[in-house]
Amino acid sequence: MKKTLKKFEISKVFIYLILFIIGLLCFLPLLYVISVSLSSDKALATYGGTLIPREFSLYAYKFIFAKGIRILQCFRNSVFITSMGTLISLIITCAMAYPLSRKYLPGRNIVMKFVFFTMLFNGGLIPFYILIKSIGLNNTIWSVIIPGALNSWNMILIRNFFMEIPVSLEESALIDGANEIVILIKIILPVSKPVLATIGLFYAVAYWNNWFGPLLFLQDIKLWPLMLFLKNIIRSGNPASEIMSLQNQNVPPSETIKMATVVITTMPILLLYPFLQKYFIKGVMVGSIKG
Amino acid sequence: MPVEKAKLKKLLKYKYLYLLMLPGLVFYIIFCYTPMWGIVIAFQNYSPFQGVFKSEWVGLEHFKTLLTSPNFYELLRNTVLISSYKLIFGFSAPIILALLLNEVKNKVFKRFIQTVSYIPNFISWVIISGIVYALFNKYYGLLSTVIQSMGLNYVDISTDARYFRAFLVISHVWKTAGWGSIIYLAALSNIDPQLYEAADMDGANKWQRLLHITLPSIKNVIAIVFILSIGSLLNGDFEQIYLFVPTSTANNFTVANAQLLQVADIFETFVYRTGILQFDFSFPAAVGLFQSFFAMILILGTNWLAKKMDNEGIW
Repeated sequence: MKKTLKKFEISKVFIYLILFIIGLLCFLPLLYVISVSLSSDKALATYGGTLIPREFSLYAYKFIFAKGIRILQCFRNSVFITSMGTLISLIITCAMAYPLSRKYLPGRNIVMKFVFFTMLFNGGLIPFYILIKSIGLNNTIWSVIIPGALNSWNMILIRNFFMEIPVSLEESALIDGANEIVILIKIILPVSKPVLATIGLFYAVAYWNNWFGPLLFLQDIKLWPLMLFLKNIIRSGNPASEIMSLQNQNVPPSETIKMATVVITTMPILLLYPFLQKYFIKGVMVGSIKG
Repeated sequence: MPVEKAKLKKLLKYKYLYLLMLPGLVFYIIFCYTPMWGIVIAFQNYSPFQGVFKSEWVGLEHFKTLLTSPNFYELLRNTVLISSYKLIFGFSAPIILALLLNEVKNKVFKRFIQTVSYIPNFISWVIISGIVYALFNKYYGLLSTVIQSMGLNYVDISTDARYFRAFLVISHVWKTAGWGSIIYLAALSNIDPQLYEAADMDGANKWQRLLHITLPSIKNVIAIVFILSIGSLLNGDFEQIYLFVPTSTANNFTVANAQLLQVADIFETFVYRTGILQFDFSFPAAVGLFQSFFAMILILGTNWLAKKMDNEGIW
């Protein structure tokens, strides 16, 4: 008995250790970036990077909030794109998912096939590019909101959730004379908070992280979201002067500014994440099993 | 006549539902189906000034050019190699992670590790490229400092063509393994504990439990995820590769690092560079069509194969 108990324990320790290391690997890189952003340039150049800054300094953040007007403007753009986009996306996705969740709807299967085909095959980047330009969305903020508004995976997840809602709720409202739009808004949506939180988070993250659409269609730098701006300064050798030249000023270089911008760009998601996390684990599990 | 009237009445009965679907349907038609017609560009010498209807028709010429171009085999090789490596490691990592997590009885620890492992999924490749730069660079990178302090020679795998593909796979697994494990954990939690009890009574050890109960029980989930993964064999992760291949601008001409391109350029990055940056529309459109078409064949084929082997397909 004692022998098997010991053997049992060793493998458990091993498993816990591996998982702990995996957890560290996911977490430490972020910690490191934060550390670099809070370090002074001098310490960075002398000692190299460390997990805890050798010489603590808020220089990078001061610079951004004092002189980085462009960064703050991009931040505002990102907030607008993300909030407007998530709102529009949730509306159009739920509106599409609800009818498709009603098994009795004639033509439901045809529409599902119609949707499903778009997940298999698409026209490619070039035709899409030409399309957006020709409908006049080019260089408008809507070019990065509208084309991404409806995601088929998300729609299917919501549809599956709606299908699980007891029909009795809908029936009693229909008897009272309500039409389906009212039912959707007043009955179905309030009950769907977990899946709305989940899908809302998915859309929000997608909008917040989107830089390629803006790269293609937003020529005016005043419209740039933060992610696109960040991309440019990371790939440049000289982040501060890049920021400045995008603002038309002169300034000395700094690596810590790069990292501070990274932190600012990631913060909203990391802050939002814990609050919505309890919803989406459940939501994804239900949705993916049924899906 | 009465049949049609009845059908119409039925449609009218559900008019609000159809109304709700309308914006979505319009969306799909405009943004998904219309670009599909744009495929004709691949068969023309498209010029934006002449438009689709007036551009010269050249039939399969671009496809011939594609198949005989030295680029093609490099693109195909890179795409297939990188996707295959990602498939091997990126497919097994979430499963292994889920199996490990499943063994953990302590709920707090389990939730904590799960939560932390999901985070990379929400971080964009732009941020990751920033993190990678901070960690890997020769000057102040953490990895560089640590390895050099041990007296070893440091190689930055994120910019070295010899290790670049490995780097792409590693970063891909880092980003996706945690999130990918969700679906397996869900399936694992649905396994009837009585099966395990019965096995324990028969004296099964850990490995036997794994092989004969755990893995077969999640067989269907594995098959479905596998089908979806294979379907993207011909796709790559455009964002990842585009962001990790540095470009330099000289004389207003942007050039991507040639050595890295040689090992990592895939169809999509090629289409972007030649199509969008060099304003050549028709040839990249042909490349894109080629890729989309065969990706679809792959996914349909794998689904058919899975069904033949007695699993549930996706449809």
